[in-house]
Parts: sequence; C-alpha cells; structure tokens
Amino acid sequence: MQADVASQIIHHPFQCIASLEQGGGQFLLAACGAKLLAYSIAGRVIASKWCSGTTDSIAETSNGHANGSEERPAKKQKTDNKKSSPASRIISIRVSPDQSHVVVVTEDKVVHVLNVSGVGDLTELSQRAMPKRPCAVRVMPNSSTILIGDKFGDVYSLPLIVSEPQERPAQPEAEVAKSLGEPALFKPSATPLTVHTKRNLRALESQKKQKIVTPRKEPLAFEHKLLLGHVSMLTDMVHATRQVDGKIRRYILTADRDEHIRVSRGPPQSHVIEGYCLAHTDFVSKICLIPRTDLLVSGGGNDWLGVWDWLRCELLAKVDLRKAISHLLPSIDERIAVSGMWVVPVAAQTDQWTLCVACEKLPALIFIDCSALEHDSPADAAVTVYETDEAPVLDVAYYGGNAGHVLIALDDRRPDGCRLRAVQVTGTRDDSKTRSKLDISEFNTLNAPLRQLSASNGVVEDDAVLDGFLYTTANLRKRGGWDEDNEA
Amino acid sequence: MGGPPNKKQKREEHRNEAKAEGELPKKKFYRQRAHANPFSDHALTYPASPSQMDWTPHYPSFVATKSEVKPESDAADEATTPRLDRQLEIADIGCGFGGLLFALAPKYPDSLILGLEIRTSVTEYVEQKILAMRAQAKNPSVQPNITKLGPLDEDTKPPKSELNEDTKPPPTNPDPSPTAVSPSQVPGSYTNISVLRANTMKFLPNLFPPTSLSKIFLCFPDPHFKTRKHKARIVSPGLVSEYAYVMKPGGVAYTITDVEDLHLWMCSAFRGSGGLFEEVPGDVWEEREGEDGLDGGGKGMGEAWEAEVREDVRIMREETEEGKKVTRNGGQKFVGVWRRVADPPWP
Ligand SMILES: C[S@@+](CC[C@H](N)C(=O)[O-])C[C@H]1O[C@@H](n2cnc3c(N)ncnc32)[C@H](O)[C@@H]1O
Repeated sequence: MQADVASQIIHHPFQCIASLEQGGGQFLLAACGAKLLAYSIAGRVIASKWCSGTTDSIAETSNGHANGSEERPAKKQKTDNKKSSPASRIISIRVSPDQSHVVVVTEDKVVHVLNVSGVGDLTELSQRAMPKRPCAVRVMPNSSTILIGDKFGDVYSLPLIVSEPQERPAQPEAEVAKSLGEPALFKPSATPLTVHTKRNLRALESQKKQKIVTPRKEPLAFEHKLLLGHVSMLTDMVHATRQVDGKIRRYILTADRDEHIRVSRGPPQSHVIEGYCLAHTDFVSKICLIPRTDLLVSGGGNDWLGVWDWLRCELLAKVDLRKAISHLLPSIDERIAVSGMWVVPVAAQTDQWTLCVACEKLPALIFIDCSALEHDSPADAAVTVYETDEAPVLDVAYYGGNAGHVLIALDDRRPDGCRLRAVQVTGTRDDSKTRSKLDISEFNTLNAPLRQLSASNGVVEDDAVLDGFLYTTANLRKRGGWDEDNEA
Repeated sequence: MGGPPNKKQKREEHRNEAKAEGELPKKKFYRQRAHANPFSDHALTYPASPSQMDWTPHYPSFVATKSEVKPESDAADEATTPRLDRQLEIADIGCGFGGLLFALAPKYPDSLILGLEIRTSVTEYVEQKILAMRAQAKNPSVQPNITKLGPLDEDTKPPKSELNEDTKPPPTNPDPSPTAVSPSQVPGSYTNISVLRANTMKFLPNLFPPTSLSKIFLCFPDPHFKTRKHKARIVSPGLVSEYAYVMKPGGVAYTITDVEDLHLWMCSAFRGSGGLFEEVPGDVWEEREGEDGLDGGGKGMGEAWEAEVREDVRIMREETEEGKKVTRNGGQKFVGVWRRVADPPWP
C-alpha cells in the first residue's frame, strides 16, 4: 500500500521559466503552478518567492510593516477587494528588456507586474484583469509597454506601470463601453479606475508600495489601447524593428490558429497591415525572429517549420521536422505540434545564435544553427536533436550572454526527477553530409543545484490534470468534418 | 436540424432537379438558420494563400490563355494553379441570396465580381441561380423556365416574413428576378459573377491579394446587438484593417443597414481607421433630381466617378434582398461610402 502511495506522488514541473539579470547577478525565474521562484544562479539559493493568489491558505509571512526588508518574500497585503483571490497557475513570464520588471500572466486572465530588486526580491505592483485569456505576451523594447494578444484575436497595449489610482471617475468605464457604436480602437479608451475606498486611499498614501488591483469582474478597467484584431485565437506575437533612411520602423507580427501570420505596423499605426505570411495549412503556434536577419521561423501543426523573409512575406524554405524527429515519435502517423521556439546564443561566440524548437510531449529539444538558415538553401539546414531522457521540454531560457548557458524546463514528475537542466551549445561540428551539426553539452556545475531546486519544489498533482494544463498546443488543431451549418 | 422528413426530402429533390436541369432554383428550398458563428471552424475549404486559389471554375469565360500566364512565378503551386486573364475586382461580403450580384453583373461586364457567403445552402442557391442565368443568357429561346417567370418584381409583392414563406404553399411565381426577364439585353451574360462559401471574417487575406479589390459591398450585415457580440460583426475596427489591406487605393467600400446603431458603429469603425479610409459625403452619392448619371458641379473625384458611386448606392439600396425587404416594410436605410486612401506615411 505504502509503496503504491509513494509511486503516486508526482511533482509539478516548472511550466515556464525566464532569466533575469539584476544587480550584476543572474536569476532564474521559474513558475511552479501558481508560485514563482527567483533563484540566484551564483548564490545557488532561492532569493524570493511569489504566489499569484492572496488567499490566507498561502502561508506568507505578511504584515503591514512595509519597510522593504530585503530577505523577505513579496508582501501579501490585503486590499479591500473583498474576497481574496485564489491562487491561479502561471501561464506566462516575461522580463522587461531593462530587467527591472517581470510580467506574469495567470490562468485567471490576470496580468501581474512585479518589481525585481537588485537581490532578486519580487514585489507585486499591479494586477489587471483581461477580458479574454492572454495567449501571447510581450514587453516592448522601451520597457514601458506590454502587448497582450488574446484568445479572441485582439491585441492590446498596456502601460507596464499603472498610474496611481485617482478618485472614482464620474462614469465608470463599463458604462462608457455599453454606450453604443463606439469601437474603441486606436485611441485610449479607459480612464484609471479607483478600486479603493477612502480609507484605503489614506492607507495607500502611507504605503507607497501598495499594489494596484483592478476588479476581476470589470476587465480592462485601466488604461489600454486595442491595437489590432484577428477573428481567430492569437497564438504568438513578436515585435520587430527595421531601420529605413535612418529611421526606426516598428512592426508587430501576430500568429493565429487559422494559419495566419500577420505583419502589421507597430503602434501608433498598428491598424496598417503590411502583409501576411501564408503557407501553413494547420495552426501556427509559434513564431520566432532570427537575430541580425530579416528571417522569421514559424511552427505549428504542420510537419515543417516555415522560414520566411517576413518583410516581403515570402516563404524561403520549409525545414522538415518530421524527418528529424521521426525516430522519437510513438507512431509514424503521430501529429506534430510545435509548442515552443527560442533563440539562444552559441557559447563563446559573439552574435552567433541557434534556434531551439520544442514539440508538444516530445522528449527532445531541436537545435538549428541560425547561420544555416541564412544560407541559400535553408531547407537543408542541419537539425540537431538533443534528447531529454523521456521528459518533454516545457520551456527554455538562457543567461550569461556569451557564455551561452541554456536552461531547459522538463516535464519530469518523478520525486527525484530532473526538472531543470542546463546545457551549452558549444559550437558547430562539420558534418560532410548535412553541413554543420551543433554540439550540445551538459553544464554540470549547475545541474546538481538545479536538481536540488527541483526536489524542493514539488507539488503533488494529478497526472491527467497536469497534462491538461501543460499540453494545450495540439488542441489548436481543428476537428475536421464538423459543420454546425450544414443542416438547415 | 432538418425539418420533417418530407420537407427535407423535398428540398433535396428540388436541389437535385435544379442542378440537373440548370433551372432557376427556388429560395425556399435553400433557407437556412440566420446566424453562423464567425469564430467557429465550420468545414470550410479555402486556399492557404491567394496564389493557390484556382478561380477558373468560377469564371470559365475569363481563363487566361497559355501566353498570358506569366512564367516568372517561382513557387511550385503558383506555377501550377490555373490563372484568369484578370483579377477579381468586386466583392459582395455576406451576399445572402445574391440580389446585388445579379444586378451588378450587367453593370460591370468586364469586372469579375464575387459573392461571399458563410451559409452552405444559401451559397448553393446563388451558385445554381448563376448557372441557370448563364444558361438562359446563352440560349434565351430554349429556356421554358424563363417564360414562366412573369414581369413581377419582388418589390411589388406583399410583404411577408422570410420565415413563414417556407411554410406557405409555393407561390405561382416563385422567384422572379427582374434581370431574368429580358436576358438578351444582358451584356456580360453573368459569366463575370460567382459565389464562394467562405468565412470572410477569417479568410479574406487567403482569397484576395493585397491592393486587389476596387469595390467591397457590405450590405445589411447581421447586427449582433449584444455588446459582448460586437466582435462577431462583419464590420469592426480590426476587420476594417483587413478590408483596407485587400483594397486598391482609390477603391470604395459600401455599407448599408436598416439598423441605425449598427450604421453608427460601422461609421465609427471606418472613421477610426487611422486614415485608411476617407468618408465620401452624402451629397456625392445621394440621388439627385432628374439626373441620369450626369450632373454639373462634380468635384473631387470627377463626375464619372461620382455617377458610378451613385449608381452603386442605388443598386445596393434597391437590388439586395434585404434592401427590398426593408422597402416593403417601409424601413429606413443607412448608407456609408468609404474611399480607400493610400497607407499613411511611416511616422
Ligand atoms: C442579413 S444577410 C444580408 C444578405 C445580403 N447582403 C442582402 O443585403 O440581402 C447577412 C448575410 O451575411 C452572411 N454572413 C454572416 N457572417 C458571415 C461571414 N463571416 N462570412 C460570410 N458571410 C457571412 C450571413 O450568412 C447572411 O447571409
């Protein structure tokens, strides 16, 4: 009996990770369910923890004395938001380019902005509820604007920092929205909204660090702009720039479940569509820009990755994924769903990059040398498959610039499992037949501490529930043949 | 869900007969639940990109001869997809039973016009009617069907609701079409119109290349009254960007509705398009006293252009099925005319 129970204990993996550099130190941000850890890579310790909920059940040593004591985890302060919000699992982590803030999105559609101190302390500054599930989140290069693409295809921009709440405006936003015939595009459509009572406002004055929480039932009750809209689920989004005649041109590239990759101008002209990269015949789930080039790589429900000249919306090549991973697929007709794409540096090289691709539930990470994609025939680019011992890849991050340390979050649920692994891409090895292959080596000095971190942060979960949470990409595929309108 | 079996059967029989004989189809056998959810997947077929769309079955009279096909296209599918000798130019988005298409066909015999409709059987009806009209125009004398059609215009019929039309006994004069009366006068012989089942809210860029269309008609769109459903409207801020994308600078988008709120919504979507569209004021397209396409004082785009816009507005008011219905019921029609201007300069 006891053995049975033990074998049933499974651990929650780190579903999203990111890296951050603060105060000269490197931090790994790792989300485990509703919790976010800031792990100091140099110190090999957890610098701080944050949890998305404000329920009392989450034992946070909170008290009202906000004096910025540095060792303490993020403060949990009760607002008068009546009920405390239950903890909600983290679905996205983005670090602002200036490394000062972290944008965390939780399953309950709330966008949390956290401040990061020099020693890795996380302090929540704001919570904003979106109307639809955020599917793609980016922080603009200026580190002051967040872009959010949602399940219904809309892309909003939000200021990273919410302005101080003011007195309740005369007309709440919800009312304004109800008044007719006013599509709110291309102009700010909301005023900051007060959610605090007078008493709380007074408290706020004394506590400068009080976080700003907008009501969940009234989404978008804060400053925002609707930038563009697809009539389809948005799956991914990137921001790109080009220099023309000494001036920077900004673009937003968006991908959707209906096979589209759209190239729009960046704000304030995001209503101008520059083009569509069309070739996919199944959903597009991930798009990724290749540094220093005009190349975009797209992946989704097709067996190949698209390599595009995105400025000209021209498909340059299809890289055969199935061929590369067929030996790892459970059956020959197993469908492929690209669940992640990242660009990481090649160690000890300046400005040399490799593309990493993860497929849903596939226990391997695929590496493609970016310089091979720039060659005349990108379709022949060598693909290096790095197997991850039965554990599917969930997320990838890197730190340390030229050192090129790549962190891989793995879905290993065993109590002593390896949920985080550090590797280095140490360069290219010439392979006469397939051009250059990449050498991937484990970065062992970090792997032992990461294993400890994994062990200390297990959460018991149900396997099926966990699968449902972690593996959503394949659900993007359309179920063919069904048509609600075929019958009159 | 299908109705009682005998009704369903009748539909089938009629549709098959109409198909076999090339007869004018009867609307009542093609009616369909009014609303389709634009967000759902449906079972649509559509090209991955415009270059992969084979339009030749739609416009067989406009197929490019070998020498006209440019050889330079490098992509394999582009090279193998048969080509037309011209681009599609006019789109009727949410065309319903196609009244506008049949009225536009003889007006613009050299332009390829496409109706887009999400409902399967409504699309099938339009398809059948186009084939029947083409056949009749080709060979007017051999069509007994034509003579059966009286000169009665639908406008002169007593008003009746769409729905109970289904349950009534078939009228003696089931589907009179004004243009069908004298097919010999038709210059284009309906070879320049076609219909496609499509969810235009998702797949417009799959069908039309950028800057290709010179006219888009958005006639009597479903109103989707609830605020929560505004994203399901066929004119929305996001979609205005897509209409702009497929349109030529100088092209015109037309909107018409009998729902004032929807009109205001559509106006603000076009006005808020960040300079992609310019409003063509009512004094340009409003009907004028005793004019016949010619009028003094033409300004801006020129008289001929204004006359054409005026005529388009008249057709849209009078020839769409919904337009006729609104007339019968004495309702009001709200028109918007929007000119696509060039993309704004980069900031
Ligand atoms: C009220 S009817 C108007 C029909 C016609 N334009 C007229 O004026 O008589 C609106 C039509 O738009 C169609 N429609 C709605 N959403 C659509 C979509 N996303 N794509 C194509 N057609 C659509 C509906 O099926 C319906 O036939």
